[in-house]
Amino acid sequence: MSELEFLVADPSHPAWRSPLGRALRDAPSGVRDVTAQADADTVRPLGPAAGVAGIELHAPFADTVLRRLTDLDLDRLPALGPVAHVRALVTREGDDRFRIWFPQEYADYVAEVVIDTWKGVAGGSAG
Amino acid sequence: MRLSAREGERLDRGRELSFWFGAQEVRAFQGDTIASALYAAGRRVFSRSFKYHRPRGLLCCSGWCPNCLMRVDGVPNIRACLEPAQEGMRVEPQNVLGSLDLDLMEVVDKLPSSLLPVGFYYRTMIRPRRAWPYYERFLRHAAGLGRLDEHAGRAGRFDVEHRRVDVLVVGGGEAGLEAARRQAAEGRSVLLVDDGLSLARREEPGIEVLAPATAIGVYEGGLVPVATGNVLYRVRAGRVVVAAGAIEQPLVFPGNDLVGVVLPRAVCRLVREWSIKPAERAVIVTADDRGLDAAQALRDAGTEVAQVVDLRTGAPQRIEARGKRGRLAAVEIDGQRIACDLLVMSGGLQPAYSLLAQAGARVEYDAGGAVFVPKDLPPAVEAVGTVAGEGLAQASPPPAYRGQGKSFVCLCEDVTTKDIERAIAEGFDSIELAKRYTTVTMGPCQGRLCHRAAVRLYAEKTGVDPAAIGTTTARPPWAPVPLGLLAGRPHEPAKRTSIHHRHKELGATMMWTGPWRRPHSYGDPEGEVRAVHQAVGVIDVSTLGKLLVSGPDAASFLERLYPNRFADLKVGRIRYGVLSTDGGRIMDDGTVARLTDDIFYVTTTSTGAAGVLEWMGWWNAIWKMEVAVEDVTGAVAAVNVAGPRARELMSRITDLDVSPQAFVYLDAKRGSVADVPALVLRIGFVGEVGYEIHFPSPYGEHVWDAILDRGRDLGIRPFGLEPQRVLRLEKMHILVGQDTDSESNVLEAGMPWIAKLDKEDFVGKWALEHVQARGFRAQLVGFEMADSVVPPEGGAVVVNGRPAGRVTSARWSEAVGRAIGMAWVPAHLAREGHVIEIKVGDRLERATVRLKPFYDPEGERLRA
Repeated sequence: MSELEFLVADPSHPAWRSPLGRALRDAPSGVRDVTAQADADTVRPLGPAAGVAGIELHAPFADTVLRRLTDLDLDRLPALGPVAHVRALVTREGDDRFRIWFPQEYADYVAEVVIDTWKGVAGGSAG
Repeated sequence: MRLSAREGERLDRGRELSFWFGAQEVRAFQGDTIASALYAAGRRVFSRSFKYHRPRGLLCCSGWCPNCLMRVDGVPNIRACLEPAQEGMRVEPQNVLGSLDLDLMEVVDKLPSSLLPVGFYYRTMIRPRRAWPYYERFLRHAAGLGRLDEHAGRAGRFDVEHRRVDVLVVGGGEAGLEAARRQAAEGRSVLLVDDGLSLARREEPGIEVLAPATAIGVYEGGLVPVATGNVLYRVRAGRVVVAAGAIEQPLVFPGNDLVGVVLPRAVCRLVREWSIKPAERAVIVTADDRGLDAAQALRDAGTEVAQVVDLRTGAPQRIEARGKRGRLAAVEIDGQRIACDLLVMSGGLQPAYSLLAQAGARVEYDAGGAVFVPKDLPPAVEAVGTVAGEGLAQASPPPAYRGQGKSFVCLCEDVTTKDIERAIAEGFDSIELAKRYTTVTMGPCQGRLCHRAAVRLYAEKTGVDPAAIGTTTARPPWAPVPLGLLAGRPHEPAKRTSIHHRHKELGATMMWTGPWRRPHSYGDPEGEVRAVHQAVGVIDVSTLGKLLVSGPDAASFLERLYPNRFADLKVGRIRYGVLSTDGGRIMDDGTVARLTDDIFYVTTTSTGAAGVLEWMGWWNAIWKMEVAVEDVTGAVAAVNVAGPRARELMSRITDLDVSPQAFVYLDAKRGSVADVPALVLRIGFVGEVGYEIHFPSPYGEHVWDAILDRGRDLGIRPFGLEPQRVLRLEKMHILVGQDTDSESNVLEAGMPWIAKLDKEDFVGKWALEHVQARGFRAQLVGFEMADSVVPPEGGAVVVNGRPAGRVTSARWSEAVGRAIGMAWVPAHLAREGHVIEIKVGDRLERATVRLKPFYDPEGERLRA
């Protein structure tokens, strides 16, 4: 066992659980858990991948929801900055698809804020 | 009276609706505002004035003045002239005692004005001094406008949205629209913001339009907050184009606030947008063409225009409006009385320069036009149209007409010409001072309708040029904005461990510790303590800060940072460490495990990780050592398994040899726990054999489940923070922040063995040497109560009738059989067995000082 193996988690390990598993269970269809896809190099600014959670936002409300959660310039991604007051990395995956990477201990909180904001933008429907 | 349908009206006559004004049902068309519907229904009094409670009617119909502020669906201070009428809404007057038409507070207006001069409350209600609270209560009750319902919830959902554009254009009039089109044609992203009054169309190719919306300020870096409905847009613009236009100015003459005295735009909107006949007989007094335009609108509506006085062709000596019960009945011009129920006054236009001034523009007085105009615009800020002074006609009426009755300079704050003159006589000879004394320009209009008049009156009375008097400072918000909109959505970031949901499923009561949500207990704190002492317990300690300190200089770095030694710490061993500030004060504590020669695993308190990380980074910025510090708090979960049967449990779930000989106290070993990689630390905070298991966070629930499952027959119970606090208190282990404060040092806190003063240097060494040299003043000690009373944390230790120390922690301990605690006491009392007194309620309770742990004082159970 290497010195720092206790820092590394393998999403394919049967013991692995996403911190967003419960929080996004009833999320709108445009909100998705991508924690398992955390690439160690991409999320490095936030620390080891085992400590990072990820939410993907799709059209039709992805950009509006993000603009209500962060003042990062969405035309200049990836960028590191606060999302709903939590230090996060925001990446663009396509014209209308974004990912928010953030410390996993905020998973429930960020998921709650994202869903609430999404519903607010969608006018109350879960989208 | 509503006129027949007219071309250009804003009404959809096919869609009727009704709303409630008090107990009266008011019918309206889609497109009506609350004010237009009420006016069409015959209402003329819309509010009562701020100080005198004089009746006030529609004045501007443009959202500038305070005359139509009402309470709408429980929300105060809504401008009825802008608020669309909606089905079923409930509209109520505000700032009245009685009704709008019969306000008992109107008695204030009947008092001689000498009794209520400007700032009267500073002078007339100061004696007797002890009565001031009653005066204050009365004044607070009498003053003000709308009232908030203290018991109401949030009025609605508010959001803040961040936008970035190349160009932001404020104002959708001709000039603004033209500027927006020009910028869009050059390929820039353009956002056009309009209050909904100027913009004819809501869609423009290549331009994003926000309307109705109001820019409420201009801040550094092109930041412009824009309020629209329930969303506040924080727009960052590369360039800000202000096309805010100009504001109609009232004339100042006796009776200029009577119901029926209006500005031209109000007339034009009533007639042309809402097809309302405003009055039967009107008089026009105007300093520009706007009054003439209003006269034409009135004639179109069937109103008789009795007289038009064009001030440009010769200003009369006297103008006075006469009324009955606050309503206009006639106008007297140079002694000639003209009966009328509407007086249109126009004192010309004043550029709405406030946003430009906020952006840094200089504001200069143009004597020709008698207006203030913006000059020397900062880079990336542009002014177009009338706001820049373009196209303004010469309009220079007298600053104020005198006569009988009150002449209002400021309608928002009920400031009269006499008030201004009195302020000048009292020595308030600067417009900024006068503003604060008289409150002129400080009301809801924010100087839109009174600033120019006040400055010109000042100039007339003092003989100083208006250019020299200057303007008051323009500050945001330029338009009223609900506090909820500024606040946006309430966000309260909470950290939760990867095992959080298991705690909830087990019935834990959660509590805040810093930003973390942690289990207080699982419903039976005493039972949880008992399980740890008698069998085995498990606690989630994932909240501990966890840092990796690595590099060739890592050991030297820690050696310089901590008061105790780390250079000699062997690989695979752990040492407790207390971080001191450079003033020798305790800032955090935790353990340091040496994983390799160059890698140390450092834990901190649950709330201390960020501070310690910053502290380490700060020092290494000075020392420039070859060391890296990484925060792995979130990546690593941790649980502590403790109790006499902890070893047995560990042997079931790990491949490590946990025998007493192979895994001794303060060992750190890497291995597999519940089939996941882990770092296991043999340490104890709770007085029993303990293993702190650190492993990747995503495996949190798996490891937790495995521990509970494999420990079931051993009597395992999860325990929360409250049991942990009892257990650690029995061992007299300190909690940083609970038992220490910003003055505490390791020497007086009873940990002299931490400070290795023989080291060459470490952070805070000089301060600890100083403490050593001067002697101890206070010491942190344990105490046992004489009986079962648990003293309050923070309670006073009393010596000779005076408070001389304080209790920092106290609990009942079943294992010890009495109430125990820790307290700071004067150093001379810090002797084993000394009796001290602690204040509990009104009584002094006796307690005995203890310097050794209450439970297992020699640590035999911990090291077993």
